[in-house]
Amino acid sequence: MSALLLAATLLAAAPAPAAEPPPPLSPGLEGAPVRVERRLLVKNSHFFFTLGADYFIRGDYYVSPGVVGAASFYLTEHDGLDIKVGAFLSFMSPAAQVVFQSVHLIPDAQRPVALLVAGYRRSVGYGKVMLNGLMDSLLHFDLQIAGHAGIVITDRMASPALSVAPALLVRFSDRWFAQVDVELYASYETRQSAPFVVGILPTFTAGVVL
Amino acid sequence: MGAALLSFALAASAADPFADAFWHKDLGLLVALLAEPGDWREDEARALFADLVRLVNCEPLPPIPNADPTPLREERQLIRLERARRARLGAAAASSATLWRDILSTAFFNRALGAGPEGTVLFWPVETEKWSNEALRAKVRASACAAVGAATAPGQAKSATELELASDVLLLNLRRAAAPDKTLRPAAARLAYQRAVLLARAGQTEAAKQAAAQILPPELLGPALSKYALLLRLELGVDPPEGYAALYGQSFGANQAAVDERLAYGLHRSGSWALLEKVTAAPRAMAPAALCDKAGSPLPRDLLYRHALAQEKLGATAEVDAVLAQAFPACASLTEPAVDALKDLAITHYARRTLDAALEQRLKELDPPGRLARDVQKLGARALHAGNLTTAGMAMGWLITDRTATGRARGWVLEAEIAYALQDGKRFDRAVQSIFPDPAFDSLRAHERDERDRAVEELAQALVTTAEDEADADFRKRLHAQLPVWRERAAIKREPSFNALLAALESRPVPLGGDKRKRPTAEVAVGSIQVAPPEAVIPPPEVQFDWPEPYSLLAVPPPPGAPRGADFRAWFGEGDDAKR
Repeated sequence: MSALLLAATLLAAAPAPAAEPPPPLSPGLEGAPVRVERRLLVKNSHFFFTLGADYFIRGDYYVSPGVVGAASFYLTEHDGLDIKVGAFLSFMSPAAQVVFQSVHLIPDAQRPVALLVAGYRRSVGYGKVMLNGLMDSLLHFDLQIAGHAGIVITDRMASPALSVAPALLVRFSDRWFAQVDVELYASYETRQSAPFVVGILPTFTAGVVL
Repeated sequence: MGAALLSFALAASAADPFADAFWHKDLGLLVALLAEPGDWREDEARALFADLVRLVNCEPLPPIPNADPTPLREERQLIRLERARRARLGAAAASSATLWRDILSTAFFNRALGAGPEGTVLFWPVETEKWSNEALRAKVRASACAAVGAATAPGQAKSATELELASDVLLLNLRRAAAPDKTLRPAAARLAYQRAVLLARAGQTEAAKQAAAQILPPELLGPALSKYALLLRLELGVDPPEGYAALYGQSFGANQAAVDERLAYGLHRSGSWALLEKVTAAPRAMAPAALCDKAGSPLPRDLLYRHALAQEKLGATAEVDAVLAQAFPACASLTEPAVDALKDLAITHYARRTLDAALEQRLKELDPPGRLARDVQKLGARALHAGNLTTAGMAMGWLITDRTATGRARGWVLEAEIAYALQDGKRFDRAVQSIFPDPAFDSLRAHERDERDRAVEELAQALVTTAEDEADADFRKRLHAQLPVWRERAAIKREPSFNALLAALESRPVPLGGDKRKRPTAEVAVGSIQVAPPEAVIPPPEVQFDWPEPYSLLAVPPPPGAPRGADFRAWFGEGDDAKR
């Protein structure tokens, strides 16, 4: 107890610790050091042409795989314009086929046949990934958001459509790359039920940059 | 030895990353390296390179603690000395032949955070994971060098002057460090040279001499500066004057005329005419107007005189004529030792020729109007002494038919001299009688009489000094009779001179006029004295040297790839004095 009292007394009597002088500024430094890297996935003023597969999911009794081609041109490293053309190999889903055969009713939904849209892409991030520390596995990619407008051609009409999508542009080499989009589509179709149709269109394409 | 080992160790390892960035002029990397936490073994190198960044970015330099001196203390002090030099140079630093020319050029160091077009450079935070292709960099603070004298931080006391920083203590410590570690010797030599130059400019010659004595050897300063180090040591008296000869053939730029002058004086003294002729050749290319510009330096005229003298000694008559044609009449109105000596040389040169219209024209060009009679008299006397009696007689004839009374008097003086040389008594008497006609017919005005009296006094001096050897008894008797007459006829102010000459002729002490404190002196004619061209070497005019400074005073550890034991470097490539 007496020891504690002594310690408390000493602490109370001790002068306040002098204020630490500010650390000297690092010479020539403004801000903080960074690591700098030259961008490998360069898009500015380049054309990107891709071709690949997609799958239109609309919950409309149709199975709609397809092929899609796109051409993009980037005005800056962040901003690009593109056009997409796609064709769907749609067919009635097995469940709808059973209903049709049993009650002879066909879905009110329209069968997607083709797609033609144009839009805008915005790069919002840049990243890279390396697997197990293998230098050869290092991939650089661009995280994007995209918005498109155009038409979805069905077996009955050409319906206006809008889409937004998160996207990934992955660099394989100076020439080759891949593009992954997961688009959320909304289109207008004349049907007896609600005319607005919403769907998801994942696409995977690969192509060249020029 | 400890200092040497540690400085080597610094050069070999701890300083490597900093030195590598510095020698690649990569300020962005160097600043980033200094901002990152490091190993305690890097502390010395870190402090040195931090000071270098502050120097090139003109940021305040913190004081170096006095306690616990470190091995790189002297190198850090050199950085402060360099900063002080910048303060002295002021606005001229940007165009000076110093490292400040580079530092003040914004493009000299790479200050960029990253190179590449807009948007093509990616920035990642500094993390422990290190990815390939990522480079550590930092944004470099804007240089404060635009403000002249940015050496002093706000609130900081006024910076020490260059001379205070280039102290003998610093020089001693650096030389002490350089004793076992030869990599620091060039830096020590540069400091010794700079200190000597600063002290010499401040007029502290003795201290400058001591500093210059420590430039050992001057070759350490590199080819461009070592010759100036040699010259500085010669000028300060560290090395004997014979060393000037070693400077022959080296280029000194704007200081060439001053160096040539020093060389020429030494060669003139030693009578090395062939080399003197080469050393003094530069002014031959000058236009007369530029050569004789009163506002210009007297050095080219002095060199030209010595050049003409060398040509005269070497017997190059045509070249002497060419030199005289270059100098006159443009320099005729100048009164300075070299021009006077050149005029004298010209008269001696011309005295070997026949006095014709061309020579008379040349004589006219030597001096401003009104001095031709005096020059003709000189020409005649020189011709007489050179044995050219024809020209002596022609000069006499020219003078006695001159329209001025003083000219005619000079002619009779010359005639008396000729008669004396020929030991022709009658001719001598007739000449003397013509000099001093009957007072009733003496029509000279006061200033003309003074001219005549001076000419007679000069004649008397010439005759008395040669009487012992050249005059026979009859002529000495005649001279003895004439001197009192000349004394009586000349102005009273010349009486003491004639008394002395008379005493010398009689070989008795000179009367002192009642002043008993002075010892009596005997004026004795002891033999022949060369009275024609004075052979005395005229002293050189004052010369000012523009002492070049070392491009850099720094001592920076060499880059990592340098050979083992490489010197601490002063600066980059062309700015390194050792390579210039």
